[in-house]
Order: sequence, then C-alpha cells, then structure tokens
Amino acid sequence: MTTELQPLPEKEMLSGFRNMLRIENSRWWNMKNILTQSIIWLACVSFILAMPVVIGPMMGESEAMPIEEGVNIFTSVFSLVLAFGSVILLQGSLVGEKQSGTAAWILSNPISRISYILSKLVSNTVGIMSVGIILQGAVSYLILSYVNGAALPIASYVTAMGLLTLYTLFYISLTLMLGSVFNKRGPILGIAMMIVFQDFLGGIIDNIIKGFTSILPNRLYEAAEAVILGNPLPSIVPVATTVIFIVLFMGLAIWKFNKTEF
Amino acid sequence: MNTPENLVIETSGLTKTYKDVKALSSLNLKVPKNSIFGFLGPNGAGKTTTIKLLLGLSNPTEGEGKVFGADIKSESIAIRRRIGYLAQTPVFYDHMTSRETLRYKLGFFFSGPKDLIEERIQETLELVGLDDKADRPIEGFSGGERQRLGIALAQVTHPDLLILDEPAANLDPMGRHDVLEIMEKLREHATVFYSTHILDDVQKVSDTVAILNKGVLVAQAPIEELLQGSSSITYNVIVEGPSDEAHKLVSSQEWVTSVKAQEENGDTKLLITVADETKAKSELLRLLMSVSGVLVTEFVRNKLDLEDVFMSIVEGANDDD
Repeated sequence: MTTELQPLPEKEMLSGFRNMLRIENSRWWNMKNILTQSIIWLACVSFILAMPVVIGPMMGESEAMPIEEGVNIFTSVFSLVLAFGSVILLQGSLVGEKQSGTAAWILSNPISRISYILSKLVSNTVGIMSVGIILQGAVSYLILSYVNGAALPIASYVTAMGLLTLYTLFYISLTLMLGSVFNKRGPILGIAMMIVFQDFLGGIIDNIIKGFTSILPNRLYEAAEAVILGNPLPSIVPVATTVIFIVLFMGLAIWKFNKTEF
Repeated sequence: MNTPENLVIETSGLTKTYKDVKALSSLNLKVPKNSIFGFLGPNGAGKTTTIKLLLGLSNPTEGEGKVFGADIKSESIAIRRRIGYLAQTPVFYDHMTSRETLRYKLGFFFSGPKDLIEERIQETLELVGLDDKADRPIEGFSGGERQRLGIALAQVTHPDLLILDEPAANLDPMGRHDVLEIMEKLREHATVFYSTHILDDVQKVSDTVAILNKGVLVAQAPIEELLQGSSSITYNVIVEGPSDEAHKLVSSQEWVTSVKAQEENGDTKLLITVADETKAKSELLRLLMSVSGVLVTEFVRNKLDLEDVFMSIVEGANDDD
C-alpha cells in the first residue's frame, strides 16, 4: 500500500505543464464562463447570420437569400468575431499575470517557461474552438442549410471550420507572442487590431511587393467560403504561410518569455 | 565548519546589473544546512534581487550561485523542486480558495494518492490557522491571511529549503509570533533563508545572519559572533552631586574611549564608552564612587542588540562611500 505522496517524474522541458493546463482549463470550463461565452458568441455570429434569413421574410422581402450571400455573410462575420474574440480573450493572459506578480509566483514552482506558454496556448485554443468554432459552426450550419433549402455537404463544412480554426490559432499565437514582448495591454491590442484589418495595410504593401496579400491569413476565410460552397481550395499558400506564422509566433513567445526577468 | 556539503546556498561573485544600476555586487554568500539564516538590509539593498536570482526568476549578470550544489542558471527547475518560496507581497489566483490553491501548488510536486494530498492540505491549513477559511475565495482575505496562506504554500511540500521574503511584514504581533514559531519548527527538517526588516525577530530565531547594503555584503556571521564582535562597550551611569569631577576622572583613564554627559531631572547621565571591558568591570564603579560627594544612582552595562550592530555596520559602510 502506498503511504507517501508520490513525487512527479522529472521532465525538465515540460515540467509543470499538466498542472498548469488543469488550472488554465478550469477558467474556461466552469458553468458561468461557458454560459457567458456561449451567449456572447451566439449573439455575435449566429444571431447576425439569422437576421437576414429570419427577419428578412418577416419584413416582407419576397426573394429568398441566395446561399452564396449567406455563406459570404457567415464567413466574413465569423472570421472577424474569431479574430476579435481571440485578441480580447488573450490580451491580458500573460501581461496580467506579469503585472500582478502571479507569473513570478507560478514560476517559483518547478514549471518550465515553455510549459507556462504552451498551457495557455492549449487551454485557450480548446476553449475558443469549443465555444467559438464548434458551437457557432453547428448553429450556423443549421441556418445555412435552411437558407440552402437542403443540408450543406458536411465534409466541406468541416474542412472550412478547420481553415477557420487555423485562422483563429494565428490570432491566439500572435496575442500570446505580443503578451510576452510587452508589459501593457495597449500595444497588444493596437498591433493585433492593425493585423485584423490586414487587408487594408496589406493592400498598401501589395503595391510595393506584388502578391503580398495572398500570403495573409485573411485569405483563409475566403478559402473557407469557397470550400463551403463546394468549390476547390483556391490556394494552399495562405494555409502554409499561416502555419509558418503560428510556429514563428510561438517560437518568439517562448524565446522572449524565457528571457523575461521577474 | 562550512564545507561545501554543509552548504545549502553558496554564491560566488554573484552580480546583477539593471541597465547602469548595480543591484547586487559580487555577492559571496554561504548558507549552512539546517540554519535559520536572516538576510538583512535596508530597502533597496538587493535582498529581493538575490532571492529572485536563487529562484531563477532573474538571471545574474556575472558570477555564479549554487543551491544544493546545483547551478542556479542551468538547473533551476531541479532546485525549485526542493524549495518553498514566499514572496514579499504574496499574489495568488484570487478566485480560488486556499484549499484549491494548496492543491494547485502540490500538483507541481506530487501525483497522489488523493487522500494523502487532502490530508497534507488540511494539516498545513491548521498549522497556519486558516482551516476555518479554507473554502472561501482568497479575494476576501486580509493582508495577514494572505501572508499566512503564503507561508502555508511555501511549506506544504515539506521543502528542504524555505526562502521567505519578509515573512512577517504584514502580520500583527500575534501573527509574527506564530510565524517565528513555525520557522523554529521547520528548522528540524529544513533550512530557512529569510529576509526581514524586523531585527527583533532575527535576534529571536536566527542562528546566522548576513547584512547587505547597497548591493554589497557587509557582514556575514553567526549571530553570537556578530553581537560579540563589536569593539565598543557602553555603560549608562546616573550620578547625583558634582558630576564634572566624575566626568574628568573617568575621561582621564586610558581604557575609556569617550564620556558623554547630559542633564536628566536634576541628575547627570553619563554615557561611558570603554575599550577594555575587564578594566571597566573592575574599576569604573569604584572610580565614580571615589569622587567626593558623588552618588551613583544607576549603573548599567548596555548590552548591544542586533539593531545596534546593524546600524553601526550599515552606517559605517555608508560613511566609507
């Protein structure tokens, strides 16, 4: 019979990851947070999408909305909400704990700094995916199928959700990276918002470097739109570049956080 | 003897510079095993900087440090497995209860069994007197309660080394007394390294002290040695009658360093500093009483306390600048 506490095995690189992830997950997975998040996301995505579909006919519009228009509204609104939502939810994740001293307290335990960053990435990605992408995706699927007059092809729809997940990961990793670099929320919000509106800036850069906008993650929601409508993926380039951006941002976040002094 | 095996903390030339400011200058610290080591110094002396370097929260600019023989730069996680730490201003997740926070802390160290973990938590909560508030969110805690929780968190893993940054700072006298008692209890199994401003507490529980001033280590010794090490011994004497003569006579002795006189309620108070304690013991009172008309109403040998030693060392170091 075991009569003593069992020390955890020594894992230098991922030391403390599981324990930190458990606490980070507990912030997401409590009834109050789940209800609040679900209502906010439903109001921001599904309600906006349902408006022209349900309210339009009530207002006496005789013509049914074409599916292309419905999918366009969905992907445009959804991607914008995912980008904003990720930035808003994660802007204080690192900075808040650095400012309050909680980060120093946690790091005085046997936890590696990689574990600290990765636990925030994993818990927030799973949280936003569940409440933001899966729940909203499912409700919106029903609305879009109603607009279409028949169920949309499920495989294409799931692929599109995968593309939007990648798009969301871009903003999650970007916000974490900015949180490791800055000690205030202002620059994080400012820079991240500038990137949300990347098409505007990208357009200017595109005049100098031809094809610049084609590598930006915003092309992913256009790709998602095409895929839902049964068209082939327009280009693999934004998928590849977004993956590269995510890896780069996470690498930078870990590198910078490793050098941070508390 | 402080052999490397007997040392829990050993630093050599440990230096920390922030931009152009040297927060810590070439620190050579030796903390013996199972000691209660008081780390003293005025505000901004570099105490917290040292603690952060030992914990790997900050990186040294120069020099090296070892805790349990492990390097503070490359083996920080292994070191932290054996340390319990209390920050100067303890910060936790305020939405959590103290029981949840202790469970979280233990989760970094142990995997179970669950009932033993809960038992350890309960025993720790009782030790610091928080068992009746164990399931309330920390956001409603007073400063003292937060400090107690901080101490509970520092020792719940039964660490080999406790690093406490101002452990009694936010506590009332009863709380301070409790903390000192806890520290005494922990000495049997652990080494306690703590920084403080409260010199009374240091004198009560510490066996070794180090004094830091402006980032420089100005003294490091067992407390007894430090208290005996001061060369000046003073006597407070109150006399009635012609004190001028007594003043002159005492001042003329070669073993007397200085005599200061001041009037006090019609009597004269003499503060006599001597260089030779043996001579003073055998001759000082006799000399004073030999002066015609002088009555000695009070004769007290001042015992130096840590505060006197601390002030003289720190002020001495400041004068040298």
